[in-house]
Amino acid sequence: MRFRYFVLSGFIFLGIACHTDRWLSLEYEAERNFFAAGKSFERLLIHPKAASEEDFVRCRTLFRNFIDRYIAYSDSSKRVSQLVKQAFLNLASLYALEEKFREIISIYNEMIERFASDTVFLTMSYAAKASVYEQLAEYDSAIAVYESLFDRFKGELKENPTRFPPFLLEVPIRIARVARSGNLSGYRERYARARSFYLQIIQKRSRQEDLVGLYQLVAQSYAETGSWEKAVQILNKISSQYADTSQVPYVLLEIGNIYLSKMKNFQKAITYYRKITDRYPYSPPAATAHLYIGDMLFVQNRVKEAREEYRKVIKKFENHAQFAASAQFRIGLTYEKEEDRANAINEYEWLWRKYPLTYEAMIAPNYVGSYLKKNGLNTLAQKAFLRAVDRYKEFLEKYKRSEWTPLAILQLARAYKELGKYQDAVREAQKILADYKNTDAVVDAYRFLGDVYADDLKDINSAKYYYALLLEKFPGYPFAQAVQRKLIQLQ
Amino acid sequence: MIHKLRLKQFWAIWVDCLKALKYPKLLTPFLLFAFLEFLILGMLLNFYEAPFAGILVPLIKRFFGEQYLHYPNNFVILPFLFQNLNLLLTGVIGVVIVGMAISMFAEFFRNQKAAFFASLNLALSKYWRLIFIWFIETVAVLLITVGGPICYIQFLGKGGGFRAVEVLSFFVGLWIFAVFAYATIGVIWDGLKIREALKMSLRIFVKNWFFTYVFIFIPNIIIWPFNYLASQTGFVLSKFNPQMVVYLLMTVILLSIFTNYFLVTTLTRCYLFAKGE
Repeated sequence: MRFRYFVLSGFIFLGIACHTDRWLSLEYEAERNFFAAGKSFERLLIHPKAASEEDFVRCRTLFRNFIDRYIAYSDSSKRVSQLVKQAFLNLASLYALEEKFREIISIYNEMIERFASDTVFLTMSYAAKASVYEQLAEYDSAIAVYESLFDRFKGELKENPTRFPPFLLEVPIRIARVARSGNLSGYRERYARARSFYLQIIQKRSRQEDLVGLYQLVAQSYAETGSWEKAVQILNKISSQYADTSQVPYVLLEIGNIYLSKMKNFQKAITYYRKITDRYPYSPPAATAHLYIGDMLFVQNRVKEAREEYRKVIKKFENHAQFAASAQFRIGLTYEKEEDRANAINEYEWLWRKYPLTYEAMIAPNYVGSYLKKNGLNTLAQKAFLRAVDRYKEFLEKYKRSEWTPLAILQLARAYKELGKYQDAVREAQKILADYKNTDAVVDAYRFLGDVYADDLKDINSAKYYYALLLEKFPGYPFAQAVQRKLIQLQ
Repeated sequence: MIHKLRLKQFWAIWVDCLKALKYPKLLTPFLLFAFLEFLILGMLLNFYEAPFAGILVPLIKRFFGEQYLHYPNNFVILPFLFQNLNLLLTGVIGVVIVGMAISMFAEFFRNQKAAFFASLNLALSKYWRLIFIWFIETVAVLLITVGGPICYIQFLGKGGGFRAVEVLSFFVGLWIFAVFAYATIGVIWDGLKIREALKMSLRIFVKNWFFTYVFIFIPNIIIWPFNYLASQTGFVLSKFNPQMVVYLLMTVILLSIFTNYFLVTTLTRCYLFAKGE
């Protein structure tokens, strides 16, 4: 009797034990293999410049093998599909690190082909491919990519835009923007076409949130073609008809900005900014509004009132480092205007201590030195630059891998330059080119190196080398013409 | 009559235990237990494969969450699962193995003989008593080592003193363990009933509290850093490959062959000395 029960329990146990999700084992194995490839990728990301060609090849092979092995299962297992997609993206990132743009495009083509049924991923793949073409300044190709994405979903998008990723709705205006950036003929018509598309959808929609977004796109299309009045008219319509939506403070800010920077109607700008600060005092646009009102008062020499506006930002947005740092820097400027040197420097010092991870704080130590130098206080200026060197070194010691690290290195180089330590300055700037070549600081580093070689070290060949590299790598650099002139002078 | 150990006897116990190492047969119970521990570890590492998946997957999902079924998250709970299953293994099979080892050692110390199967039969014949003593001892030790830190978190939060409380409860837990240290030996060697065995253990402990604590402390302190590191999965996973957790647990299993050996041999020898044998 006992034996019978024993056998029966054994069968029940085996029955439970053998009933398992057959995908689990495959998913687990896929996760383990992806993890191994991911580790290799992470190691490479720590110092891409130091990685050899073989490191890149090995890492790429790991992801490629992963894709080849699991792509067949990506339709059946959601988890495997996620991993395969991530493997594709990592592969593209690897090519991006190596600046192999054609290969990136071929990866995106593969993604588009393989994941045609996943709208979100497909949209992202198209957008990424188009942005590579934009980087290569191949605007026609970028537009062709966007258009092929748009054509794919145009009909359905018109009927039910909420079914699709929000980015898809922006594609028509993006096409127009690319055409404008590439100075292609007919960009105005493209804006008009985008606008007409949005207006067609607006007629069919009734949900407030959808309408606000669509009206904003229409307003942007007017603003980007210089039709400011019409843009303001649309934005006003949003702020009055859809006052309950969270977008309103942003819309009011947009109107204020158009009045301020495009139509030069300062009074109107202040009216709109005030609407934000009164109705939505703690919303992020309120901080910007206070800052802009302060700036306008500052320009009009109403320094004390300007300072009061800036102080309101610090009071209301103390925990929002970026806003607070901008305000504090501007307070320093108001003291400068009143020739109150002690208080001005005090504000900059506070800035460094209180909000170290902001752009304003990052430039503050050198700014103090330059300010003193500008006022003819050369001894004090030298001391300030020496202090700046210490501070940047301390910062680099403390924040070894912060997003601000390249900027801190550049500032350290600038401080060395001011102290006449040109070789040290060059060494620091070259660190940016070697270790942070994919950051924004690289452009400034090229310019800085060119200037130091040209003006201080009188090494004309090196200066020409860096200026030429700058123009070649960053043709859209805002001061490209000035650099071009300097290059011609040197030649 | 319970004798109090002298320092000379304390050293003699260590010498005897080291000499016994020459007879690999005496290690077999511990090798057997380590083998079972490796099986548990293998089962936990292959939780996603049949036949383990049918049992482990729903349990992990229910008690820890879906995310721990994925690589490398499963390594976060691996030491916890291993330690708990190991505790269960000790209760169900470990008590027999320890009983068997005690019998083999006592025989060996007495007349240089150690019969494997006779010892196994002896331990099996006293199975329920051994389990009961193990249960009382484990509950008492866990009340201190697990309950202490939990109470601290409940009342004071996981603040700066938490680590100190963890360490302190470990040392106090060893004292509790020391009180029950001779009960199993009494059951196996003298065939005592549960209450008598517990009384006997207490009496020997009272007379020889310091040496008993040392016999328990040394093996435990050797293995503790590895156990502790394996339980700090967050730290281990952030610094090393997830496999490191497995290597640490394997180290614990291998080390425990010797630490368990010394724990059981020294206490058995001490019991015999205390009884005047």
